[in-house]
Amino acid sequence: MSLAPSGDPTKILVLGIETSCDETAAAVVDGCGHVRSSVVATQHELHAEYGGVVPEIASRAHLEHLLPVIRRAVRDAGITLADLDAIAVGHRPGLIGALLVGTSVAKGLALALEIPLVGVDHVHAHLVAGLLDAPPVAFPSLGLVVSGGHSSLYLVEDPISPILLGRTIDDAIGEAFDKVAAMLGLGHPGGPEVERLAAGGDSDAFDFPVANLGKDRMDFSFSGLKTAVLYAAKGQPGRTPPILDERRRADLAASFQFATIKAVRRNLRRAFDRHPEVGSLLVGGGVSANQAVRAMLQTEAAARSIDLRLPPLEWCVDNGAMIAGLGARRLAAGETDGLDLAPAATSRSTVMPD
Amino acid sequence: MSTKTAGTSQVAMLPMLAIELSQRAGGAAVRTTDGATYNCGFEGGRRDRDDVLPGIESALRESGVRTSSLAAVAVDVGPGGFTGLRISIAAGQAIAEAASAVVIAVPAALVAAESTPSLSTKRGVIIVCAAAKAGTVWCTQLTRATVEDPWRILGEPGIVDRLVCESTPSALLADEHVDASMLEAFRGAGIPIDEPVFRPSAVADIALSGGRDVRIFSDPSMLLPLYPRAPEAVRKWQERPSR
Repeated sequence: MSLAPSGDPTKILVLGIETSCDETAAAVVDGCGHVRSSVVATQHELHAEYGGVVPEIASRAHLEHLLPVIRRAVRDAGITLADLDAIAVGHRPGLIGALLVGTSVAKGLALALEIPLVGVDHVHAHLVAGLLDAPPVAFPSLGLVVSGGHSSLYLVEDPISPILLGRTIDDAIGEAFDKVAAMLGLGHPGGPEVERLAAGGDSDAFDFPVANLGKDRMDFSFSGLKTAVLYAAKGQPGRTPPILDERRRADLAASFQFATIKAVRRNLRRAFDRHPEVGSLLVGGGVSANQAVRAMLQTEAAARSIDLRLPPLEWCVDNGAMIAGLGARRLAAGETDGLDLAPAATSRSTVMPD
Repeated sequence: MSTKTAGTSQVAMLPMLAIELSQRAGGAAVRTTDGATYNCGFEGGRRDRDDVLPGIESALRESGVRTSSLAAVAVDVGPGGFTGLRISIAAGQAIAEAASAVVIAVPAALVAAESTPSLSTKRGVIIVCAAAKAGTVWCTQLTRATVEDPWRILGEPGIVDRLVCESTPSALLADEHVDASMLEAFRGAGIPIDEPVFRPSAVADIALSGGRDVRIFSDPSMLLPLYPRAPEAVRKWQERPSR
């Protein structure tokens, strides 16, 4: 690693590469978490026709767009590739074919530039999104990642190795939004569409179930909720389907969104009660862009005088800045990876012992 | 973007890194300015520990060539296994970008023809079958007048469900995935049918010999796989009954 002579972390520049799903992204972040540039090329249009992400299409698009995205991120940062001190890459979890593109490009750059390679867990990276371009936070924190692929709660003593407190046992919260969007005839990605529709609906119109997996557990389950919405929208098997007019659609969207927020709030409260030592809450993931979710988090944090770190909307979605941000932290801790770094479909976290 | 076919001086292309990973296993070759070649093999696509970039690094180290001094990166662009092509092309793009090297896209059929030992004495027309699926193959016809000449692609390669050749081929390359019924007539006519072989040093040889079948790009992002078909999921989506 080519550390700056002064040891000044603002002089350390890390390129972050993100290709875990359907965003091709790259960013340059310095050793203090200041974002010098961030470029995200979304593939939503490519997948819209299919109602979800098609892995092979995603992989092909990453291969086509990643290098131009990196070039722009480097140019926007006002540097050249030769100025970089390390390459960070989200190498897990995600679609394997998509991750292969990002990790192979990252390794090729690290080899050719003779700089360190830092592999980053994509879910853990979401936790630092709210720490970018922001003052340092006091640890320990609670961490919440709510996205299309993940619904996880962490105890964060250090973002490099968060401790998993709970996660979804079936659908991720964002996945539930996508599926409910499909039931209501909305487009993909479903989160913003459901939120828009919910804004004009009554959240008390339907009393949807919120799965409780045990009073001490902080895991999530959204499959029962999803089925309840399906029956309310299309009718139970063998029964006459209800008329799904605009009013009902909006009420379904609002009631569904309210139920998901209740599930997140309940588990958050459990986590705060179990870990009174935490003074901050780190939040990330695409669903944290939902205004109703953000309002709930602000209310909960204010009630407990918690330092809430909500990322700006652009860093709620998958991006390279969070990858570079966590990569810079690993680099500062002396952690790097070899060129044999392999992508993996699943996240890997230390689990909180019972 | 700039693209060239042939004509570029061989010396300007050296040192060259050549990557072959169109099949499950592959390798890299580093051709130095004095013409020496340093090879390494790798499995590619290992889930536990990737060996492609470490292999490339070891070949470069052994050759004494610094990555930043590479003038060209040549890669077999398929058709072939998606995983291997994705790794080799992504790595090739990135290495070339950082080294300000040109990239050279080499079709897999040329690599197979150049690499397979039994073809070294053949001339005339040969057929290379690849990317077999559901009774179809990606068919490339190649030709050369003498055994000293490089193989050249004849006509337009493409997906076929029946192998047709205007003149009797002197050989046919087909792996175990090609439907046996497609090969019956050629086997019956006594035309030798062999398993294709793919060598990384052949990728370098073909890239250096140039010609219209080899594409050279100064923009490394233009190096992309040769996809024989639309993604399977897209095909199934388009064929679903409710559509």
